[in-house]
Amino acid sequence: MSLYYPIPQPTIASNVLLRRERRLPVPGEVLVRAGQRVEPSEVIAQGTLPSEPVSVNIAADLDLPPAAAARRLRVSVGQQVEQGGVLAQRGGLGSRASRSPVTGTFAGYDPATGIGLINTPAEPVSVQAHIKGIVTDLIPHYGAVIETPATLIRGIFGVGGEQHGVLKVIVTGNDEPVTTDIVDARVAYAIVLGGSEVTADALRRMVQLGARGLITGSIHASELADFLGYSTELRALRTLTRTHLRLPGDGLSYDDDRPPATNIWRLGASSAASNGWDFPPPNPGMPSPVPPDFVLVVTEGFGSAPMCPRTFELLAAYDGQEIAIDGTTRLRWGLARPEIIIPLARTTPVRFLEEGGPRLAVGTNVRLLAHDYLGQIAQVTGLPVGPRTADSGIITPVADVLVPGGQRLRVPTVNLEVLE
Amino acid sequence: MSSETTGADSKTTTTTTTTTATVGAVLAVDIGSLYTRAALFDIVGEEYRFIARASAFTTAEAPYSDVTAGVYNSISELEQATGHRLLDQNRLLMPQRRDGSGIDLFIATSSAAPALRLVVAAVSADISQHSAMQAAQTTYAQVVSRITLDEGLHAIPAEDEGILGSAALAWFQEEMDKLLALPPDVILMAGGIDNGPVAPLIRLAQVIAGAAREQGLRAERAARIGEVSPGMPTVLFAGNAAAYEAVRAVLSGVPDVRQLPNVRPELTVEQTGPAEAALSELYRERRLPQIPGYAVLSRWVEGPVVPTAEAERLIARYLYAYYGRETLIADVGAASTSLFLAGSNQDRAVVLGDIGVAYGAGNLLAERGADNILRWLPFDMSQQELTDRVLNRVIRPLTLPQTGRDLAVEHALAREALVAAAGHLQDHSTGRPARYDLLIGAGGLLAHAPRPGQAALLLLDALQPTAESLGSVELALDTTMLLPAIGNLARHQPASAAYIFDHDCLVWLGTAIVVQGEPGMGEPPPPTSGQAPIAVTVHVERKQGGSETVQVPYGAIQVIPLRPDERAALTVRPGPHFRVGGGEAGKTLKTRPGQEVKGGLVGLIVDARGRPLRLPHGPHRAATVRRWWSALDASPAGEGYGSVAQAGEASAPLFPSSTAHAAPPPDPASAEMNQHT
Repeated sequence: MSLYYPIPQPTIASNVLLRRERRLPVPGEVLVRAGQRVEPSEVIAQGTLPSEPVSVNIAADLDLPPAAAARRLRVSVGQQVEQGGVLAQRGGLGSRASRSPVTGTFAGYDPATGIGLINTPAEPVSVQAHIKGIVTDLIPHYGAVIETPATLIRGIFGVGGEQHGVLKVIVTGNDEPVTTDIVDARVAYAIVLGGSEVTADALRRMVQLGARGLITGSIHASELADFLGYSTELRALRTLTRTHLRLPGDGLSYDDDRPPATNIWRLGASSAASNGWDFPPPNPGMPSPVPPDFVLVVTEGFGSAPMCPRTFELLAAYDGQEIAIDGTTRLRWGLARPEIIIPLARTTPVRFLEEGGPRLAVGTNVRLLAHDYLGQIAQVTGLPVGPRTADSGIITPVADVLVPGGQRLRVPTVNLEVLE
Repeated sequence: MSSETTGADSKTTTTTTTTTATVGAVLAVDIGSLYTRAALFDIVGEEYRFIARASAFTTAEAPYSDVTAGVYNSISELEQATGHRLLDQNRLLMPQRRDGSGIDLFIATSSAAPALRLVVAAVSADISQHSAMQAAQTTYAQVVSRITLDEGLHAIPAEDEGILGSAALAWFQEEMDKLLALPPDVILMAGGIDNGPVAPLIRLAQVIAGAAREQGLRAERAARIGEVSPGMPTVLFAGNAAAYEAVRAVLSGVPDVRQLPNVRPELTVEQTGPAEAALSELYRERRLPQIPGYAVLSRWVEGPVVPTAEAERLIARYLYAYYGRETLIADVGAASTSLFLAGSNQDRAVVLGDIGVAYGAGNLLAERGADNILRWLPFDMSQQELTDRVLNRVIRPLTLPQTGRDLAVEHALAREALVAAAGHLQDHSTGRPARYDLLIGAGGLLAHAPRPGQAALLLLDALQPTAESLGSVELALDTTMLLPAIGNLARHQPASAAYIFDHDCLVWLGTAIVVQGEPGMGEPPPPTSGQAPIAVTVHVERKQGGSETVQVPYGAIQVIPLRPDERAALTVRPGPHFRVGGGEAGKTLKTRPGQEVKGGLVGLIVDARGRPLRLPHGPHRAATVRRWWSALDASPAGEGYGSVAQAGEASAPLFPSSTAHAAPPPDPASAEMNQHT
């Protein structure tokens, strides 16, 4: 075996030279020059996203057959329409109107299906620097590469995209949970450092107070589902799941019309995400209650595990300093894990972030990744040759480790992550 | 390897004791979603044999984004394990050299590609959808939606087909939304017998045409901003042939529409083979090439990269065709779960492309619900803890069970994944359970089960074989994980593949005698206290000498020691209201001379828990599961889950042991037990 973690790079790397490519999804104009110093919110490049057609079922709106609805159209192809503007109208008794849900250009009507199309106007798009640093390379028409000395910490999953702000520590230790009673006005505009778990109520409170993000050790699946606007009512789970897949149900209806929490865990072909493996997957049928600029980064996993002490201590040392986080998570087909970047002074001695990461060896410190040991660090005391019987009974390459407190474990090596 | 570890009976294996190999060493790789496994086969003396196997992580993801790196790593591991030189400066040594180094043939299977998103569109939920679903679940696909004509729309007369009423429009919009919510790669259309009505299929085609057009527009838009979205789906038309031209006209905007033979040409005739083949072909065309590094890999290998499921299905077919064994192969993987059944009037596959124990565990949880997974645990656990544990496995799919508790959860997931698959297997038949007398467990989880009893109990719990044909079912395990490699090898070297399968592939777990029935007519499950009635009395005459008689009460499962190298003659006498095999209640069965049952790593298992299994609710559930685990020496290691002794102290025993060694009772009505050996 040559690997023991999907990303064979250190998950906690201090004092490294970090390079990040910043690029537009479409060609546009690059606004920086090589050698320029940039701040996180500085726009690197800007362009225009092409318009998106929106479909409206005009025949259904008028309650008419498609051919009959075609005769009631009030707009012609190429005509500008406003949001709420009438596209077609049926007079007389039971009069009805079909209105445009967006502002745009009427692009056509299909008499076979009764569906009309509206092209929305092009939208401006830009990309920010995200991290403070120096522009080292330009990507013509798309963006630039930014370099900075930094400390990089990878999380295991997150919610939201990129964000930056001042780090604010609101817990006293890596094993302290974040609850509503410790969330106060200090979190405004900050990226908050928590300890172990966090509740949905505490997350909502942070959003209310204007926090930009939270770095936490863990979160219960039910709390995350609640925060993301899913129903955690157990009684609704099965029926609503069936409804989602249009499978035969039990015919019961429930008051809670939020999608069931289990939908969060549908991945691959079952997911609405384009590649199927964005995590948590988006639910296009439901407006998210989480503002797009709030970012959650979880370092250990699901449950109530404390944050790995090494991660917590490293982050807590930068309390009050500007950092950047990215919650983007994709489990397959373009693997992406969230990351926390702490830019350092340009004079900081750094090394290159090498692929391969540190090697497992006797004496090294490791993070334990099994559910019951999440957030704990141990020291490798032995590396038996060849497959051996782990504590669970399975035969696999193992390591003997010593957990603080004196407990000795025989752990599958795939359940370990080597710390620097 | 001894003959006891072969995949077929000793009489028939003698027909394949020599090989007809026309090539020397063969290297076969199977690229799974987590692991890439390489197996080496070569001629040893006069025989074609399995030499060694090695594995490495699959490297489909960053920073490699190229599966050939994992293939290379697994081959390097194989070189180290065997001392057989296979690579020369990162290139495969082909053909084989005189000194024995190198290989003559390199073949590959894979289950690492994303599953096809499939929609089944059918006229009738009862008939055409049923047949289309059977075809749909034979390759790595996920049926993301099903649409059928509802009553309101169905009732529209053919002559009014140009008019859509409000109910029809609402239906139309709803079905369109459904299709666009999870945009499919493929739509399988079915409906109508040949030369039947055409109008219903045109209705379906109108929905598909509308959704496909919108899906195409969205894909164009996504491409313009550098994103990926499924383009227009391929439509496979497997309905009334007379409707094809009209349907094709409605679907004129869809570039890829393929006509297939009707899955239901007549009401009583089902032909899913062509649709199955077409879906498999689409998986190869569309999905396998999406594996990073596929282009290079496909240049290395002889023939195509074969879907793993296809190779495994070939093994089940082989076992029935050559040995008459009605066989079920059960493969539980990280991202998918598969069943392959071959037998008399049974040639079926169920591949759940998104249900598994690592990447697929979230879908399993969503599909089956936490309670259905929790019921298999030998301890109590909250839904919250289970959900957290399962999702930690999804986000860190490479991790392995660290504690006995972890192992129990993983095995509970595997059980429920197989239950989900078995439900589809049963749906496809006429309502009767699938018949088989050989059950083979495959996939990493089963192959790496710490104890043979854990694998055996997992298979029995999840699949609940009824052993209708023979009264017993033989259990085997593909511990070498060679099934995909051998199935693929059979495409190139069938005789060699058969020989290797017979000699090197399977490990026998034992033979399970399955007792069906209940005490009394339709009585509820046995009480939680008091004496459970004796369900069966089994008299065992070991060929090597020694005999014993064991009585097993209703609700219990018990093991009678019978080593892999042992055989035994049996007299199986069910109690009143109980039966074994397809016989009448109370009818005694005996093995024929020369056809004694085979032992295994577990032994002779007497499963008197009834069918279907009934788990008590409340505090007795965990105690019951613990008792079953204990009976098969399947209790996980560690103290995390509680011991059997503690269970006994904690609650009254469900089925007080009435197992006794007693003289065999008289045998008023005996029949021969047609036991394969």
